[in-house]
Amino acid sequence: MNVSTNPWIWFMGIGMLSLYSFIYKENPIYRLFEHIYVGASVGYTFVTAYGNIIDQAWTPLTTEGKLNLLVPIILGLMLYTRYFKPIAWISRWPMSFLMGLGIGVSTYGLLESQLIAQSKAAMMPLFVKSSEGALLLGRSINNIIMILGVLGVLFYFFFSVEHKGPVRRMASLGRMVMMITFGVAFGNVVMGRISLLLGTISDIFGTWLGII
Amino acid sequence: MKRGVPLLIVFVVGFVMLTTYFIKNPTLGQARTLLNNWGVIVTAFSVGLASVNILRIHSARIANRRSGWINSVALILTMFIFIVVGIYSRHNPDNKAAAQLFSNLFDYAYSPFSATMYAMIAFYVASASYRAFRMRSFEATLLLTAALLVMLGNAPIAEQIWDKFPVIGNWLLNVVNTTGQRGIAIGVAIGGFATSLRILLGFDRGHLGYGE
Repeated sequence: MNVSTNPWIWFMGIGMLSLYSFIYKENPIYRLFEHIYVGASVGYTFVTAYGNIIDQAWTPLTTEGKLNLLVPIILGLMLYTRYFKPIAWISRWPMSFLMGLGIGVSTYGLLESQLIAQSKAAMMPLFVKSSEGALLLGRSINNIIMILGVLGVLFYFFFSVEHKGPVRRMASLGRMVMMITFGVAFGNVVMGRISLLLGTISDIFGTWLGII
Repeated sequence: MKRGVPLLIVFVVGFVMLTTYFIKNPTLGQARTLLNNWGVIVTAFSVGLASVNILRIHSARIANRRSGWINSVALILTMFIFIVVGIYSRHNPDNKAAAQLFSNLFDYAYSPFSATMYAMIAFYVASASYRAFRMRSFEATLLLTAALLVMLGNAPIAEQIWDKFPVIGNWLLNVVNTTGQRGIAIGVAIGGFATSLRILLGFDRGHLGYGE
Protein backbone atom coordinates (compact mmCIF):
# COMPACT_ATOMS: atom_id res chain seq x y z
CA MET A 1 0.00 0.00 0.00
CA ASN A 2 1.48 3.29 -1.15
CA VAL A 3 -0.88 6.13 -0.17
CA SER A 4 -0.34 9.35 -2.10
CA THR A 5 0.98 12.40 -0.24
CA ASN A 6 -0.19 14.85 -2.89
CA PRO A 7 -2.95 17.08 -1.38
CA TRP A 8 -4.60 17.44 -4.81
CA ILE A 9 -4.95 13.67 -5.08
CA TRP A 10 -6.41 13.56 -1.56
CA PHE A 11 -8.96 16.21 -2.55
CA MET A 12 -9.81 14.21 -5.68
CA GLY A 13 -10.15 10.94 -3.77
CA ILE A 14 -12.28 12.38 -0.95
CA GLY A 15 -14.45 14.18 -3.52
CA MET A 16 -15.01 11.04 -5.59
CA LEU A 17 -15.83 8.91 -2.54
CA SER A 18 -18.24 11.60 -1.32
CA LEU A 19 -20.00 11.69 -4.67
CA TYR A 20 -20.25 7.87 -4.70
CA SER A 21 -21.80 7.97 -1.21
CA PHE A 22 -25.05 9.05 -2.93
CA ILE A 23 -25.49 5.46 -4.14
CA TYR A 24 -26.17 4.49 -0.53
CA LYS A 25 -28.16 7.54 0.52
CA GLU A 26 -28.32 11.28 -0.06
CA ASN A 27 -26.17 12.99 2.58
CA PRO A 28 -24.67 16.42 3.40
CA ILE A 29 -21.14 15.56 2.25
CA TYR A 30 -22.48 14.40 -1.13
CA ARG A 31 -24.42 17.65 -1.49
CA LEU A 32 -21.32 19.70 -0.65
CA PHE A 33 -19.20 18.03 -3.34
CA GLU A 34 -22.10 18.11 -5.78
CA HIS A 35 -22.16 21.91 -5.38
CA ILE A 36 -18.37 22.07 -5.72
CA TYR A 37 -18.69 20.10 -8.96
CA VAL A 38 -21.38 22.46 -10.29
CA GLY A 39 -19.23 25.46 -9.33
CA ALA A 40 -16.22 23.92 -11.08
CA SER A 41 -18.31 23.22 -14.22
CA VAL A 42 -19.71 26.74 -14.34
CA GLY A 43 -16.28 28.28 -13.69
CA TYR A 44 -14.56 26.16 -16.33
CA THR A 45 -17.29 26.85 -18.94
CA PHE A 46 -17.08 30.57 -18.13
CA VAL A 47 -13.31 30.60 -18.67
CA THR A 48 -13.74 28.79 -22.01
CA ALA A 49 -16.44 31.27 -23.11
CA TYR A 50 -14.26 34.19 -21.98
CA GLY A 51 -11.43 32.79 -24.10
CA ASN A 52 -13.78 32.64 -27.12
CA ILE A 53 -14.80 36.27 -26.65
CA ILE A 54 -11.17 37.41 -26.32
CA ASP A 55 -9.86 35.31 -29.23
CA GLN A 56 -12.72 35.70 -31.67
CA ALA A 57 -14.10 39.14 -30.86
CA TRP A 58 -11.96 41.42 -28.71
CA THR A 59 -8.47 40.72 -30.13
CA PRO A 60 -9.50 40.88 -33.85
CA LEU A 61 -11.55 44.02 -33.10
CA THR A 62 -8.80 45.90 -31.27
CA THR A 63 -5.72 44.69 -33.15
CA GLU A 64 -7.04 44.09 -36.69
CA GLY A 65 -9.82 46.68 -36.63
CA LYS A 66 -12.57 44.23 -37.63
CA LEU A 67 -15.47 46.53 -36.86
CA ASN A 68 -18.12 43.97 -37.94
CA LEU A 69 -17.37 42.17 -34.66
CA LEU A 70 -19.09 45.01 -32.83
CA VAL A 71 -22.39 43.46 -33.98
CA PRO A 72 -22.08 40.15 -32.02
CA ILE A 73 -20.54 41.99 -29.05
CA ILE A 74 -23.53 44.36 -28.90
CA LEU A 75 -25.93 41.43 -29.44
CA GLY A 76 -24.18 39.54 -26.62
CA LEU A 77 -24.45 42.50 -24.27
CA MET A 78 -28.12 42.90 -25.21
CA LEU A 79 -28.75 39.48 -23.59
CA TYR A 80 -28.13 41.09 -20.20
CA THR A 81 -30.99 43.58 -20.60
CA ARG A 82 -33.27 40.86 -19.23
CA TYR A 83 -32.15 41.92 -15.75
CA PHE A 84 -33.76 45.36 -16.29
CA LYS A 85 -37.50 44.86 -16.56
CA PRO A 86 -38.44 47.94 -18.65
CA ILE A 87 -35.97 46.97 -21.41
CA ALA A 88 -36.00 43.19 -20.90
CA TRP A 89 -37.63 42.72 -24.33
CA ILE A 90 -34.35 43.76 -26.01
CA SER A 91 -32.83 40.41 -24.97
CA ARG A 92 -35.16 38.78 -27.52
CA TRP A 93 -33.06 40.15 -30.38
CA PRO A 94 -29.87 38.15 -29.67
CA MET A 95 -32.01 35.12 -28.76
CA SER A 96 -33.72 35.43 -32.14
CA PHE A 97 -30.35 35.72 -33.83
CA LEU A 98 -29.20 32.48 -32.19
CA MET A 99 -32.53 30.84 -33.03
CA GLY A 100 -32.31 31.84 -36.70
CA LEU A 101 -28.69 30.69 -36.91
CA GLY A 102 -29.53 27.37 -35.25
CA ILE A 103 -32.46 26.79 -37.59
CA GLY A 104 -30.37 27.60 -40.66
CA VAL A 105 -27.61 25.21 -39.68
CA SER A 106 -29.77 22.40 -38.31
CA THR A 107 -32.42 22.40 -41.07
CA TYR A 108 -29.81 21.73 -43.73
CA GLY A 109 -28.19 19.08 -41.53
CA LEU A 110 -31.56 17.43 -40.91
CA LEU A 111 -32.41 17.32 -44.59
CA GLU A 112 -28.98 16.37 -45.89
CA SER A 113 -27.57 13.93 -43.36
CA GLN A 114 -30.74 12.48 -41.87
CA LEU A 115 -33.68 12.58 -44.26
CA ILE A 116 -31.97 12.24 -47.66
CA ALA A 117 -28.89 10.22 -46.67
CA GLN A 118 -30.87 7.81 -44.46
CA SER A 119 -33.63 7.37 -47.06
CA LYS A 120 -30.99 6.66 -49.71
CA ALA A 121 -29.27 4.17 -47.42
CA ALA A 122 -32.61 2.41 -46.81
CA MET A 123 -33.08 1.81 -50.54
CA MET A 124 -31.20 -1.47 -50.85
CA PRO A 125 -31.77 -4.63 -52.91
CA LEU A 126 -34.03 -7.21 -51.25
CA PHE A 127 -32.08 -10.09 -52.75
CA VAL A 128 -28.30 -9.78 -52.87
CA LYS A 129 -26.39 -11.90 -55.37
CA SER A 130 -22.68 -12.61 -55.67
CA SER A 131 -20.72 -11.79 -58.83
CA GLU A 132 -21.31 -15.42 -59.89
CA GLY A 133 -25.07 -14.92 -59.56
CA ALA A 134 -25.54 -17.01 -56.40
CA LEU A 135 -28.01 -15.74 -53.81
CA LEU A 136 -26.28 -14.42 -50.67
CA LEU A 137 -28.87 -15.58 -48.14
CA GLY A 138 -27.46 -13.87 -45.02
CA ARG A 139 -27.13 -10.45 -46.61
CA SER A 140 -30.53 -10.79 -48.28
CA ILE A 141 -32.21 -11.60 -44.95
CA ASN A 142 -30.44 -8.64 -43.33
CA ASN A 143 -31.62 -6.32 -46.12
CA ILE A 144 -35.21 -7.56 -45.85
CA ILE A 145 -35.12 -7.03 -42.06
CA MET A 146 -33.71 -3.52 -42.53
CA ILE A 147 -36.26 -2.44 -45.14
CA LEU A 148 -39.26 -3.88 -43.27
CA GLY A 149 -37.90 -2.52 -39.98
CA VAL A 150 -37.51 1.05 -41.28
CA LEU A 151 -41.00 0.92 -42.79
CA GLY A 152 -42.33 -0.46 -39.50
CA VAL A 153 -40.79 2.36 -37.46
CA LEU A 154 -42.19 4.94 -39.90
CA PHE A 155 -45.63 3.30 -39.68
CA TYR A 156 -45.43 3.46 -35.88
CA PHE A 157 -45.09 7.26 -36.06
CA PHE A 158 -47.69 7.62 -38.82
CA PHE A 159 -50.87 8.85 -37.19
CA SER A 160 -52.83 9.97 -40.25
CA VAL A 161 -54.55 6.58 -40.48
CA GLU A 162 -55.97 4.42 -37.72
CA HIS A 163 -53.60 1.67 -36.61
CA LYS A 164 -55.56 -1.46 -37.57
CA GLY A 165 -55.11 -4.39 -39.94
CA PRO A 166 -51.80 -4.37 -41.87
CA VAL A 167 -50.91 -0.89 -40.53
CA ARG A 168 -51.17 -2.19 -36.97
CA ARG A 169 -48.98 -5.19 -37.81
CA MET A 170 -46.34 -2.98 -39.41
CA ALA A 171 -46.49 -0.56 -36.46
CA SER A 172 -46.01 -3.38 -33.96
CA LEU A 173 -43.03 -4.64 -35.99
CA GLY A 174 -41.66 -1.10 -35.80
CA ARG A 175 -42.18 -1.06 -32.06
CA MET A 176 -40.25 -4.31 -31.67
CA VAL A 177 -37.39 -2.95 -33.79
CA MET A 178 -37.33 0.21 -31.68
CA MET A 179 -37.27 -1.81 -28.45
CA ILE A 180 -34.21 -3.72 -29.68
CA THR A 181 -32.63 -0.40 -30.77
CA PHE A 182 -33.24 1.07 -27.32
CA GLY A 183 -31.85 -2.12 -25.78
CA VAL A 184 -28.67 -1.79 -27.86
CA ALA A 185 -28.36 1.89 -26.88
CA PHE A 186 -28.98 0.90 -23.26
CA GLY A 187 -26.26 -1.76 -23.43
CA ASN A 188 -23.80 0.71 -24.96
CA VAL A 189 -24.58 3.30 -22.27
CA VAL A 190 -24.02 0.72 -19.53
CA MET A 191 -20.70 -0.32 -21.10
CA GLY A 192 -19.61 3.32 -21.42
CA ARG A 193 -20.54 4.13 -17.82
CA ILE A 194 -18.82 1.00 -16.53
CA SER A 195 -15.59 1.98 -18.27
CA LEU A 196 -15.87 5.40 -16.56
CA LEU A 197 -16.56 3.62 -13.26
CA LEU A 198 -13.43 1.48 -13.70
CA GLY A 199 -11.42 4.64 -14.39
CA THR A 200 -12.64 6.29 -11.19
CA ILE A 201 -12.04 3.09 -9.16
CA SER A 202 -8.50 3.03 -10.54
CA ASP A 203 -8.08 6.67 -9.44
CA ILE A 204 -9.32 5.93 -5.91
CA PHE A 205 -7.57 2.61 -5.27
CA GLY A 206 -4.53 3.21 -7.47
CA THR A 207 -3.58 6.88 -7.69
CA TRP A 208 -4.86 7.82 -4.22
CA LEU A 209 -4.64 4.77 -1.93
CA GLY A 210 -1.97 2.90 -3.87
CA ILE A 211 -3.61 -0.49 -3.33
CA ILE A 212 -3.76 -1.52 -6.99
CA MET B 1 -40.12 46.37 -32.00
CA LYS B 2 -40.87 43.97 -29.17
CA ARG B 3 -42.16 41.01 -31.20
CA GLY B 4 -41.95 42.01 -34.87
CA VAL B 5 -38.20 42.67 -34.97
CA PRO B 6 -37.23 39.39 -33.23
CA LEU B 7 -39.43 37.45 -35.68
CA LEU B 8 -37.82 39.30 -38.58
CA ILE B 9 -34.32 38.53 -37.22
CA VAL B 10 -35.16 34.81 -36.99
CA PHE B 11 -36.50 34.81 -40.55
CA VAL B 12 -33.66 36.81 -42.11
CA VAL B 13 -30.80 34.99 -40.33
CA GLY B 14 -32.40 31.56 -40.83
CA PHE B 15 -33.21 32.24 -44.48
CA VAL B 16 -29.73 33.60 -45.26
CA MET B 17 -28.09 30.61 -43.56
CA LEU B 18 -30.28 28.15 -45.47
CA THR B 19 -29.65 29.96 -48.76
CA THR B 20 -25.87 29.70 -48.28
CA TYR B 21 -26.16 25.92 -48.29
CA PHE B 22 -28.28 25.67 -51.41
CA ILE B 23 -26.65 28.36 -53.59
CA LYS B 24 -22.94 27.98 -54.11
CA ASN B 25 -21.61 31.52 -54.14
CA PRO B 26 -18.39 32.89 -52.59
CA THR B 27 -20.16 35.92 -51.08
CA LEU B 28 -22.83 33.73 -49.50
CA GLY B 29 -20.09 31.39 -48.27
CA GLN B 30 -18.39 34.34 -46.56
CA ALA B 31 -21.73 35.41 -45.09
CA ARG B 32 -22.17 31.93 -43.59
CA THR B 33 -18.69 31.99 -42.04
CA LEU B 34 -19.34 35.48 -40.66
CA LEU B 35 -22.71 34.51 -39.17
CA ASN B 36 -21.23 31.34 -37.67
CA ASN B 37 -18.43 33.37 -36.03
CA TRP B 38 -20.97 35.84 -34.69
CA GLY B 39 -22.97 32.90 -33.32
CA VAL B 40 -19.94 31.61 -31.39
CA ILE B 41 -19.43 35.06 -29.84
CA VAL B 42 -23.10 35.58 -28.88
CA THR B 43 -23.20 32.04 -27.44
CA ALA B 44 -20.12 32.86 -25.34
CA PHE B 45 -21.93 35.90 -23.95
CA SER B 46 -24.92 33.69 -23.13
CA VAL B 47 -22.64 31.48 -20.97
CA GLY B 48 -21.92 34.59 -18.92
CA LEU B 49 -25.66 35.12 -18.57
CA ALA B 50 -26.07 31.57 -17.23
CA SER B 51 -23.23 32.14 -14.74
CA VAL B 52 -24.85 35.37 -13.53
CA ASN B 53 -28.15 33.48 -13.07
CA ILE B 54 -26.45 30.81 -10.94
CA LEU B 55 -24.69 33.51 -8.93
CA ARG B 56 -28.00 35.34 -8.31
CA ILE B 57 -29.83 32.18 -7.20
CA HIS B 58 -27.09 31.05 -4.81
CA SER B 59 -26.38 34.55 -3.47
CA ALA B 60 -30.08 34.87 -2.56
CA ARG B 61 -29.88 31.47 -0.83
CA ILE B 62 -26.89 32.64 1.24
CA ALA B 63 -28.43 36.04 2.01
CA ASN B 64 -31.66 34.44 3.25
CA ARG B 65 -29.77 31.67 5.12
CA ARG B 66 -31.97 29.05 3.48
CA SER B 67 -31.21 25.38 4.19
CA GLY B 68 -27.99 24.23 2.52
CA TRP B 69 -26.65 27.79 2.18
CA ILE B 70 -23.18 26.56 3.07
CA ASN B 71 -23.24 24.45 -0.12
CA SER B 72 -24.01 27.62 -2.06
CA VAL B 73 -20.93 29.24 -0.50
CA ALA B 74 -18.85 26.28 -1.70
CA LEU B 75 -20.36 26.55 -5.19
CA ILE B 76 -19.67 30.28 -5.54
CA LEU B 77 -16.19 29.92 -4.07
CA THR B 78 -15.27 27.12 -6.48
CA MET B 79 -16.75 29.04 -9.39
CA PHE B 80 -14.72 32.16 -8.55
CA ILE B 81 -11.50 30.20 -7.99
CA PHE B 82 -11.86 28.65 -11.46
CA ILE B 83 -12.75 31.99 -13.09
CA VAL B 84 -10.01 34.04 -11.39
CA VAL B 85 -7.25 31.46 -11.89
CA GLY B 86 -8.40 30.69 -15.48
CA ILE B 87 -8.55 34.33 -16.58
CA TYR B 88 -5.32 35.23 -14.76
CA SER B 89 -3.39 32.34 -16.32
CA ARG B 90 -4.80 33.28 -19.73
CA HIS B 91 -3.53 36.85 -19.52
CA ASN B 92 -0.21 35.81 -17.94
CA PRO B 93 0.98 32.88 -20.03
CA ASP B 94 4.52 33.22 -18.61
CA ASN B 95 3.30 32.57 -15.08
CA LYS B 96 3.89 28.82 -14.82
CA ALA B 97 2.46 28.60 -11.28
CA ALA B 98 -0.93 29.98 -12.37
CA ALA B 99 -1.03 27.66 -15.39
CA GLN B 100 -0.14 24.68 -13.16
CA LEU B 101 -2.84 25.68 -10.64
CA PHE B 102 -5.50 25.84 -13.35
CA SER B 103 -4.31 22.53 -14.76
CA ASN B 104 -4.53 20.96 -11.25
CA LEU B 105 -8.04 22.37 -10.77
CA PHE B 106 -9.07 20.73 -14.01
CA ASP B 107 -7.24 17.42 -13.46
CA TYR B 108 -8.08 16.88 -9.78
CA ALA B 109 -11.50 18.53 -9.42
CA TYR B 110 -13.48 19.10 -12.61
CA SER B 111 -12.40 16.06 -14.63
CA PRO B 112 -12.60 13.30 -11.92
CA PHE B 113 -15.84 14.67 -10.41
CA SER B 114 -17.36 14.80 -13.86
CA ALA B 115 -16.34 11.18 -14.52
CA THR B 116 -17.76 10.13 -11.11
CA MET B 117 -21.12 11.80 -11.75
CA TYR B 118 -21.43 10.05 -15.12
CA ALA B 119 -20.17 6.73 -13.75
CA MET B 120 -22.83 6.82 -11.03
CA ILE B 121 -25.45 6.62 -13.76
CA ALA B 122 -24.33 2.99 -14.29
CA PHE B 123 -25.91 2.11 -10.92
CA TYR B 124 -29.16 3.86 -11.76
CA VAL B 125 -29.24 2.26 -15.19
CA ALA B 126 -28.86 -1.13 -13.48
CA SER B 127 -31.70 -0.37 -11.07
CA ALA B 128 -33.88 0.92 -13.95
CA SER B 129 -33.25 -2.29 -15.90
CA TYR B 130 -34.28 -4.34 -12.87
CA ARG B 131 -37.54 -2.37 -12.61
CA ALA B 132 -38.14 -2.74 -16.36
CA PHE B 133 -37.58 -6.49 -16.08
CA ARG B 134 -40.16 -6.69 -13.31
CA MET B 135 -42.76 -5.30 -15.71
CA ARG B 136 -42.68 -8.70 -17.46
CA SER B 137 -43.91 -7.29 -20.76
CA PHE B 138 -42.76 -8.62 -24.13
CA GLU B 139 -41.21 -5.27 -25.12
CA ALA B 140 -39.28 -4.94 -21.83
CA THR B 141 -37.90 -8.46 -22.27
CA LEU B 142 -36.89 -7.66 -25.85
CA LEU B 143 -35.14 -4.48 -24.72
CA LEU B 144 -33.25 -6.16 -21.91
CA THR B 145 -32.30 -9.22 -23.96
CA ALA B 146 -30.85 -6.94 -26.66
CA ALA B 147 -28.98 -4.92 -24.00
CA LEU B 148 -27.62 -8.10 -22.40
CA LEU B 149 -26.46 -9.53 -25.72
CA VAL B 150 -24.71 -6.29 -26.68
CA MET B 151 -22.99 -6.15 -23.29
CA LEU B 152 -21.96 -9.79 -23.57
CA GLY B 153 -20.76 -9.14 -27.12
CA ASN B 154 -18.43 -6.44 -25.82
CA ALA B 155 -17.17 -8.30 -22.74
CA PRO B 156 -14.04 -10.43 -23.37
CA ILE B 157 -15.21 -13.12 -20.92
CA ALA B 158 -18.38 -13.79 -22.95
CA GLU B 159 -16.31 -14.93 -25.92
CA GLN B 160 -14.75 -17.58 -23.66
CA ILE B 161 -18.24 -18.82 -22.69
CA TRP B 162 -19.65 -18.95 -26.23
CA ASP B 163 -17.81 -17.62 -29.27
CA LYS B 164 -21.09 -16.56 -30.94
CA PHE B 165 -21.85 -13.81 -28.36
CA PRO B 166 -19.73 -11.17 -30.19
CA VAL B 167 -21.30 -12.23 -33.53
CA ILE B 168 -24.85 -11.80 -32.16
CA GLY B 169 -23.89 -8.52 -30.47
CA ASN B 170 -22.44 -7.19 -33.72
CA TRP B 171 -25.48 -8.30 -35.71
CA LEU B 172 -27.82 -6.53 -33.31
CA LEU B 173 -25.64 -3.42 -33.46
CA ASN B 174 -25.16 -3.32 -37.23
CA VAL B 175 -28.49 -4.60 -38.52
CA VAL B 176 -31.38 -4.16 -36.06
CA ASN B 177 -29.94 -1.10 -34.32
CA THR B 178 -29.14 0.59 -37.64
CA THR B 179 -32.69 -0.15 -38.81
CA GLY B 180 -34.28 1.40 -35.71
CA GLN B 181 -31.93 4.40 -35.70
CA ARG B 182 -32.62 4.98 -39.40
CA GLY B 183 -36.39 4.93 -38.95
CA ILE B 184 -36.16 7.25 -35.95
CA ALA B 185 -33.71 9.58 -37.78
CA ILE B 186 -36.08 9.91 -40.75
CA GLY B 187 -39.00 10.64 -38.39
CA VAL B 188 -36.94 13.17 -36.43
CA ALA B 189 -35.80 14.86 -39.64
CA ILE B 190 -39.37 15.27 -40.88
CA GLY B 191 -40.54 16.56 -37.48
CA GLY B 192 -37.49 18.82 -37.09
CA PHE B 193 -37.94 20.29 -40.56
CA ALA B 194 -41.62 21.05 -39.86
CA THR B 195 -40.74 22.67 -36.51
CA SER B 196 -37.92 24.71 -38.11
CA LEU B 197 -40.30 25.99 -40.78
CA ARG B 198 -42.87 26.93 -38.12
CA ILE B 199 -40.26 28.95 -36.18
CA LEU B 200 -38.77 30.48 -39.32
CA LEU B 201 -42.17 31.68 -40.52
CA GLY B 202 -43.16 32.93 -37.08
CA PHE B 203 -45.94 30.42 -36.31
CA ASP B 204 -44.03 29.07 -33.33
CA ARG B 205 -43.00 31.90 -30.98
CA GLY B 206 -42.04 30.04 -27.81
CA HIS B 207 -38.47 31.41 -27.99
CA LEU B 208 -39.79 34.95 -27.47
CA GLY B 209 -41.05 34.02 -24.02
CA TYR B 210 -44.20 35.29 -22.45
CA GLY B 211 -45.31 38.81 -21.71
CA GLU B 212 -45.33 41.82 -23.97
